[in-house]
Amino acid sequence: MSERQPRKANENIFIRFRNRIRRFLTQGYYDYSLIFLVTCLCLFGIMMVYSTTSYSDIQLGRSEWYSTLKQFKTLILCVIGMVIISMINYHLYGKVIFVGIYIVLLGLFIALMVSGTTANASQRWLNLGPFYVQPSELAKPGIIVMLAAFLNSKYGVMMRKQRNQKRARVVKEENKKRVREGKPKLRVKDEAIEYGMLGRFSGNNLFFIGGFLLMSPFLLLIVSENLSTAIIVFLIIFGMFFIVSDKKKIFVVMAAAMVLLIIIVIVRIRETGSFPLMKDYQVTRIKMWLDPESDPAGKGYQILQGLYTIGSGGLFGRGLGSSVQKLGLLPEAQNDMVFCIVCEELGLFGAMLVLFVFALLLWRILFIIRNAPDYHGFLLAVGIFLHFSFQILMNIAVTTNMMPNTGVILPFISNGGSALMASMAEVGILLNISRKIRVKQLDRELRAAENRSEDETEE
Amino acid sequence: MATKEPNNQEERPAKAPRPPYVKEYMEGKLLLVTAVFIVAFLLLFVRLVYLAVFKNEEYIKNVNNNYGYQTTSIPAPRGKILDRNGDVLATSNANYVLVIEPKSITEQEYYRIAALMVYKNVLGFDDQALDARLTEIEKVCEEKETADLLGRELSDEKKAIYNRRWYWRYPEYENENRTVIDGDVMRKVQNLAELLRSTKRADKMEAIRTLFKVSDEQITGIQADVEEQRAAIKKAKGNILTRIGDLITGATREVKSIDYEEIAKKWSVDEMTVKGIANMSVMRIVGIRFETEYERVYPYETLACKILGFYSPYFPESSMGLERSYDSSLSGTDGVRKTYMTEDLNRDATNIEPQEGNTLVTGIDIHIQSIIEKQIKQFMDEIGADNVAIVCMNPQNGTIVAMADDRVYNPNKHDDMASYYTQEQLDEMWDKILKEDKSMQKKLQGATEEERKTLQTSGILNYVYRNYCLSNTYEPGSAFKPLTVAMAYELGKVDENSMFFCDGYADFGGTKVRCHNREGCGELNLAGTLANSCNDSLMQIVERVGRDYFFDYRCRFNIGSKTGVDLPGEVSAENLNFTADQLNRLELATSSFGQGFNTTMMQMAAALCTTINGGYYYVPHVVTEERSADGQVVARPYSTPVTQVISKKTSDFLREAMYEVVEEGTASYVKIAGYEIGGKTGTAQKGNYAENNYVISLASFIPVSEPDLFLYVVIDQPHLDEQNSSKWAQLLSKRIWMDVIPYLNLHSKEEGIDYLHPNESGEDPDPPSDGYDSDGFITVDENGDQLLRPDGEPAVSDQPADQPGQQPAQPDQPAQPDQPAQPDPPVVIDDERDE
Repeated sequence: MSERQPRKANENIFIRFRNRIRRFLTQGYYDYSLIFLVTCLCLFGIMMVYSTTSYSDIQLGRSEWYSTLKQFKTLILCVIGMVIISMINYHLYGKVIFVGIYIVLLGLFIALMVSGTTANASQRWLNLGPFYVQPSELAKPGIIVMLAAFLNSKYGVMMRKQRNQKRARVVKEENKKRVREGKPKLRVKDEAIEYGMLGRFSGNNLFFIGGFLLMSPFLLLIVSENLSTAIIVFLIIFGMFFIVSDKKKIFVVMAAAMVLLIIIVIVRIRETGSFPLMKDYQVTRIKMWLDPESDPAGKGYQILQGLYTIGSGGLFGRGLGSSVQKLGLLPEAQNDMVFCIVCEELGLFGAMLVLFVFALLLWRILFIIRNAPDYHGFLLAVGIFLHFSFQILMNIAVTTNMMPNTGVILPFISNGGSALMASMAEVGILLNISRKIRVKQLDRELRAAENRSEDETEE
Repeated sequence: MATKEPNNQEERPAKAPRPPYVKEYMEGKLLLVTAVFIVAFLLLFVRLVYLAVFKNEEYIKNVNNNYGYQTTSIPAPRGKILDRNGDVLATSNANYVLVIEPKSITEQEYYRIAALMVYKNVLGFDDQALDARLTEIEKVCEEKETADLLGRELSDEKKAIYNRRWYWRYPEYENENRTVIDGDVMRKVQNLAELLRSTKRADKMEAIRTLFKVSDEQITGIQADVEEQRAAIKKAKGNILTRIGDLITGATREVKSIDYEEIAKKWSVDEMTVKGIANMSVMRIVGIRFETEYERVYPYETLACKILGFYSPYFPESSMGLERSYDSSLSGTDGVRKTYMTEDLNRDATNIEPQEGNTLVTGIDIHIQSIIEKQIKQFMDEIGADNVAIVCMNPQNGTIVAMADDRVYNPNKHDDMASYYTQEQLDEMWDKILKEDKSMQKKLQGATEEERKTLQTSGILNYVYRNYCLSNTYEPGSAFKPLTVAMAYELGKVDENSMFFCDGYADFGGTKVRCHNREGCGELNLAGTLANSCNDSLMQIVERVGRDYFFDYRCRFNIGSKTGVDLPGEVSAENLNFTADQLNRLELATSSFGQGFNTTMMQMAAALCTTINGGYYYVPHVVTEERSADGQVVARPYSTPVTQVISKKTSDFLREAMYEVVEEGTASYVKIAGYEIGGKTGTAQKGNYAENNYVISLASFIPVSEPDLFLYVVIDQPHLDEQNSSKWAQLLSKRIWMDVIPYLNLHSKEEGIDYLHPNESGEDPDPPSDGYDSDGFITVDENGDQLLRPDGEPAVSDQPADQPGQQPAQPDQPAQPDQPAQPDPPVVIDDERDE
């Protein structure tokens, strides 16, 4: 594996750089199977983009390759970005980059609010000179990175600690004692002096409050613009807290409450056709989810056409590229509904193959989670795992009408630059984490190399 | 940060030491989450299997329906209606109606340009108006979007505009008139669309040239200029790197858009043209369609309107005449045009061609029909009557050769009465309707002025559309007598030699039923009873027949029930006929000469035809043959007789007897020298006997030996002082025969009289001298009495024709005790009955 030649230190800056690259490629664990799976998915995605966009491109008077080439260029940029990100030590996210991401995302959203490009009646796109970006897509990896950094920080870790809870108990008892003795209770200021800043709060309280406070600006902005992204971000945050926290009851209660709320919403909408605080179009979507055939030519059109598309594929499909429904019949065939076209062209068999590749991808991420070298890596990988899982599940659930229609794209396969960028950035982070995994044989070699060389090895 | 000790995860992952802070419960929870995901994936898998396997067939059908999602129907032309000589009486002409689809046009700017240019330069319409309308629709669509978001409703007017975005017959929108496009222009537009789609440059150039009316030079020049500017703009924009550089340095580049105005000025065209040429490669003609529509045309206009009726495409159930009764045969099968995508992404279409409706060959003869209509009009102008109606049939097979009454309309503009009738006539009709129709008066009570007007319009329309021959009932009077004689003769109750004595009346338990000749006709043989139209004798005959046989034969002659003629609107008059129980002596007696019950002209004509054609009852019918569009005979309805009612012998006798009626009896006015015409008059008193209103009629046929043509003329209340003479029915018939005979190529039996070749016969060089003028109208009757004044005014009003002194002497007539000049007066029932 190692072709490294013994050499002297500080020989030449060029040679040092070359050696560094060489070492990067040869040293440490690099999850090639993950890269392989992602490559498969991306190339398949390009194929599907060509299949679904060539007709509409011709209709719009462009070359049939127009959208495909655009997506391919984005993909190349994304691959370069992925490689770069995979070389950035993920521990940096907790320090410098954290603030940077926070500011950049906030800036993007504010810019979006000031001037955005309208697509499908809501502002989602931001013109950044040479290209358009969708801040809500970029927000997903951003939030994962920030949440992981927060949870890994001194505060995040501290909040979980029993010590804080013990302190809270002490303060409580002290207060009881004071009440018995007729003395005034401890003021917050006193508590801080006596027991430290976080003395008053139990660890878990702060844990939630802090997390949500941190994320609230993005959540708010996302909710106002794009409900589906907000749901996914919420689920990611909820899932990460669930996994990280040692509490169980509260999550069970929350999950039960959510399920109850969903049931109430469904029943209420089915009975009365409206729900307080919900916008009309959201109510309509739920209605259409329950009964798409009530308006087959209007609001239920996309759902029904999606189902027809999936069903008409049968077991083995019409053959790659010979979808009929993509010819202007199925809306959003290249984006949200791309899985339908996969089913139509490749049939149940092809769809299962795609899902199998996705399952392998998630399995690889689980592998990285379980072998993460530290807590920070663990958190990042968990966030990314949740993101991909929810996104894939929700996309397929929408196309098969298992849940109300929300615009969720299928990672790596749907057409769209911002989403691909976000996905590839996450893959880059995963690769960087995987690089920190120490394999026995490799490690032995590394140590041997360390002995030979005075160069500092990467952490 | 990483663990200091090396891990051996790939080989023993389970035993790998956890990094600090990653607790055991976290892995447990992660496993739980993963399990939830796996369950969810399995659920989705089940759902996918359900969709792909169990719903597969159903959804393939749905998708295939989508396949032809642009399914348009191609209307089929209606079948033709021909007369018996093959002349086209009704046909369908194709019209092309312009249809605009704003939704497609406003999709792209260059679609819009193309549409506007087609409008202006090919169709020659006002493109500014179209542009304004398109903008209006776009605006309303935007408003609709905002309204939807806010949960508001648009006003009805705007909703109507919003709905027009799919489909819009422009400019019907403005003036409710469809724009009918010439077929050539339509093909030109379609050809242009084809050329624009072509990938060849020459084709495109040609299309652009026609579309914008520019020269090749201008096209190439403008293209070159646009390309130049485009290149300059691309250069000014720079590539991604320079743009990233700009982003970093914050520099802004001023990028001009293409200056269409300048190029337009340079080549002296308008800006839209430049824009169009700049986007030449993607220009398409979209959203302009033509729909074929068929318009029903009746080339002979008012001719045979009562038979043909009219076709109203929007309310087929309100059609009239043959168009209604044969609607299912005439209307073909609409075709279907399915547009779909081929595998190489081209739009292709398959057509299921429309099938033209069946052609109806009728027995109508337009010459005879036009003669009859002309004569009715002439009669109405000269004398006038409440109703005049004529049925002309071929007695040998029951086909209706002509049929008309005095109310005429033009089927091409069937709801436009004003162009055919003066306001005075319409008012007169309205008065008549009000007099006749009691329910109309009831409706009018409490109706507003507007309702009154619509009632009046629809009432007049229905009045004009009504076919007297089928829809009106009347008492047939003496014209019924041949039927009574026929049944008696058939039953053997009477024969040629039976003698009857008429004393002027018959007494039925105090009710005296009188013969028209109050002194009595004296002794008559069977033929004589018909010739003299003697009521008393007929009453004697019917008494011999008896009630059961009379009723039986009346039913066999189909009097009192629908004949089944293939025209709509026929009434049966069933309730106006006696049932077998009601036929007591008096009723039976009056029935024998056609009083006391009602019937329709159609029933009478069909029954009388039976008596002269050898005894076969044919269902009267217009259509003799139904042919498919390619000329195959599909059906020949009514080609066989239904029953034989009387024997040939009886029929032969009746023909002879009716010949005598014309030669020697009451129908002598219709006699035309040299031709054997048979006939029977009828003068019937109408409903209220005190009013002295009469329906006069004449049934006649030619030639007696084997009748080719049967003519039945009914005049309802002629506008004469004394109506009780069938003279005018006879004269009207004679006029018609005089015109029809030459057309039928019938040669005179007597030497020297040949109406076919009047100039060849030396004795008769000048037709007018023989009693009719150059127009073929009779002016002088056979005895030289002036019937009409030279100016065409009827002389009759001054000199009532039925006055005995004015009656022409008829030397041929056998000496009879009564006056032959008093032809066929009606029955007189004494007032004693009322007391």
